[in-house]
Amino acid sequence: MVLTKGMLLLAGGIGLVVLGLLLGVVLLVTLGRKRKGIEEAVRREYD
Amino acid sequence: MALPFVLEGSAMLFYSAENLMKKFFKTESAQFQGGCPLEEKNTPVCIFGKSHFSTELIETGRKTQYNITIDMKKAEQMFPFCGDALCSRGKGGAMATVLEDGVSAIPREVLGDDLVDVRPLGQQGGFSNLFRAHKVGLDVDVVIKRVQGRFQGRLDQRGEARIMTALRHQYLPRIYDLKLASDGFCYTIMEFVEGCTLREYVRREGALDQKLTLKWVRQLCEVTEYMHTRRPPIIHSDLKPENVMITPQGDICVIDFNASLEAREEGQEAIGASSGFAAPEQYNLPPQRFPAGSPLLPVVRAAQGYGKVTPRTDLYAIGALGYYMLTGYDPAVWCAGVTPLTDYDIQLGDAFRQVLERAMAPKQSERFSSAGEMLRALNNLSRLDARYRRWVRQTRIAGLCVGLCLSLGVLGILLGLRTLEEENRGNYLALVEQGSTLRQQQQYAQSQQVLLEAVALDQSRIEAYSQLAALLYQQGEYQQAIDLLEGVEFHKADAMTQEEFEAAQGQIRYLEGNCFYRLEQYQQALESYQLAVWLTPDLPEYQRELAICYARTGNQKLAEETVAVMESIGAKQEDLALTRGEIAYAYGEYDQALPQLMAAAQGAGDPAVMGRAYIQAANCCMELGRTDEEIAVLEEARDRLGAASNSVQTQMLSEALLRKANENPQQRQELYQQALSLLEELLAKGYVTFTVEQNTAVVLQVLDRYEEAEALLMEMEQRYPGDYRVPMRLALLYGDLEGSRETDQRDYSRMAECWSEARRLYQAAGVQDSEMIRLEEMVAQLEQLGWDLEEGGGA
Repeated sequence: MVLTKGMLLLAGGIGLVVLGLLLGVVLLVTLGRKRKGIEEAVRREYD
Repeated sequence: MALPFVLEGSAMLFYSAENLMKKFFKTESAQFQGGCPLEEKNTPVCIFGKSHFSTELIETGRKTQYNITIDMKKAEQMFPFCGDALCSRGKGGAMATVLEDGVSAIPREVLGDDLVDVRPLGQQGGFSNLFRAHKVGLDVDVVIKRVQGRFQGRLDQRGEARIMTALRHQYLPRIYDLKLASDGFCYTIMEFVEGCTLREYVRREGALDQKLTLKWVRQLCEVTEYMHTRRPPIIHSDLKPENVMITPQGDICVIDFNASLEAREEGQEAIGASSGFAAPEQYNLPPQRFPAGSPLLPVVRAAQGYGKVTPRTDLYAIGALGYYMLTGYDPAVWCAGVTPLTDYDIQLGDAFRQVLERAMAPKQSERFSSAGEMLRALNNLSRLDARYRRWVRQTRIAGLCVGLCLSLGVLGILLGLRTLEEENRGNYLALVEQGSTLRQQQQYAQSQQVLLEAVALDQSRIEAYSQLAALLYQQGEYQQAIDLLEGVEFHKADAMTQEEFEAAQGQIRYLEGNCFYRLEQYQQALESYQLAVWLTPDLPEYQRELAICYARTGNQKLAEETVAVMESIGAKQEDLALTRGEIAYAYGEYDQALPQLMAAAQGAGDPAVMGRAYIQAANCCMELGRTDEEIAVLEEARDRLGAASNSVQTQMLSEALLRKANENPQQRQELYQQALSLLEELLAKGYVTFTVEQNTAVVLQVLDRYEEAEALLMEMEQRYPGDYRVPMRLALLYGDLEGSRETDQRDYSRMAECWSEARRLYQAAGVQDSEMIRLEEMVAQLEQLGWDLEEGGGA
């Protein structure tokens, strides 16, 4: 099977979408935890 | 009788002494004593909180004299920018005497039997007298509030009560009753709030920690939001430590709505301001009201442009109250420079400080838009924290990265799909072009394969179907061509114009019509031609076929009308001759048709017209029984058409030679040989149709070349698995072969097997075939001779 420009673009696009989704999930979890930590620290500060 | 009396000052009032007398004390007879001569009556008088002045009530018959003494030292402390003016005429104090009608006692109709133990309350409202009493019915202590006669006319006596009655909130006092008594005063019986004022609390306990401050500021926001969201919204406009009660439960209770206003879109003019807790817009009054040299003028001028009182005015006061709770100090008036909270040595979170500072912004537009927003900010202090803001920045960057990845990915996918589509389109057109070239080179098998690949790439485009149908038609595979086109819905390719698409569709229908015509299904052919003509009305060949088809289906009038149309659109003479010949042929007038067709064939430059005319001319000869003339016509056709487009004529010539061979036993071998060489020529150039292969097998059989015939039929059996004609031919072949042997060497088992298969498929096909009948007769003869083909062909 010969790899054409269209196939390469399509594969690259799918790869980027998958990468973006994975990155999104990882960042969502990481930043979510960080936010909870900040909220907890601020709550302790005013209690 | 002199009755010590203390006014609870709630606000600084912007009125001159004269206006003060007129508006508040309802008298023109104002007298100033102790250094305040009458000519100075236009000097602004500032009434401050209760700590700054006191009054003495002296009953003198029908008149009541108020002696108002202003404590200059305290006034200077709390309101320094007025101090000079006051001191300049003060000698340490100023006194005004006001005469007014006497104050009557609380009427019995107000107290009834329900209110007992009435006594003056230690603190007085700014515009009212307060009494404490016990409400027997509910067994609760209440406050009786009477708007003082002096303020009659300035305030709607029911105003505060009306506002309060409409408000029901846990941080507001309850109103039990509202009575307009015969003495003209309005008495409000309201909940007695236990506890102390915020001022007293802070004085006693000192500055508060930020936890308690946060709690009470939140409560202030809650109650303020509640007031601001009424219809119409209510602005307290005088929130200050004296007007905030701290209950024994540790909650706040906002009191004193004398200065409250109904919010309007254009804002309300202030009626007063409390030093330190009043927002700049509460001082924003026309400077003309103040005489030159007035100590208030600098403040009033500084307040110009800060707008009018709106719900945001209360937010400034809430911020100032928070400031007071945290520091224990009243904030300075905004234009005198409020000491920043950061200058105090207090524990204060950055986020909370930001909220208070924003609430105390001099410009209304810079404050929170509502108490609700401020409350949300207080409930989400973490969002104002520096760490949270850093987190937001990180989240934005992360979101940007993810968004970029996804956007680029989607873009790549879209671009990839588009590029793939373009590549497919390019491949498709290249295959169609290749298939067309191969077809022109008579490499039919390769052409078909290539075109089928093109169809597999895009099953909705018309070009490959068009070429494939033309190829099948050219090979005489009419039914296959019809099956190919049946049920296919074509879509216009982007690269095609609508006209091109319609032309291609017309061509497809034309080819379909040709196929139906060849299969003598004239009604279907007519429908296809009509469609082709509707799509492309200007092509003479479409009109020609339509005319011929009309003739074939008995519509002579329509056929002649169509010929007339052909003439009108400039059809060539050979086309017209061919059409007329075909019409004559359709009506069985072969003698008349033949010269027309020959004229068309010999005059035509288009190989298609030429080939068609020769074919029909040969058919005319066949119908007239002129086999030799038929052969001559077909040979002429072969010569003129050339190898590229004479396949059908060659096949017909071979069939004509076979017919002649059957008619002339003497020349049979020679004619068979000629027919065989023509058929082999056709097979060699890829014109592999069922008829050609079958005829080849028959000729090989009659020339006693059984093995070659058998091999060819075996190949055909593979190629046409459900066709009864192949096993039928094999059965005939084996019957003929065994018949050529000695009786004792004959074995009809293979014939029996093929005959059985042919009979099964023949019955399933439901057709009539003379060759099959011949085979059955042959089998019957063999059975009569003792060969039992039903039982496997044994003797």
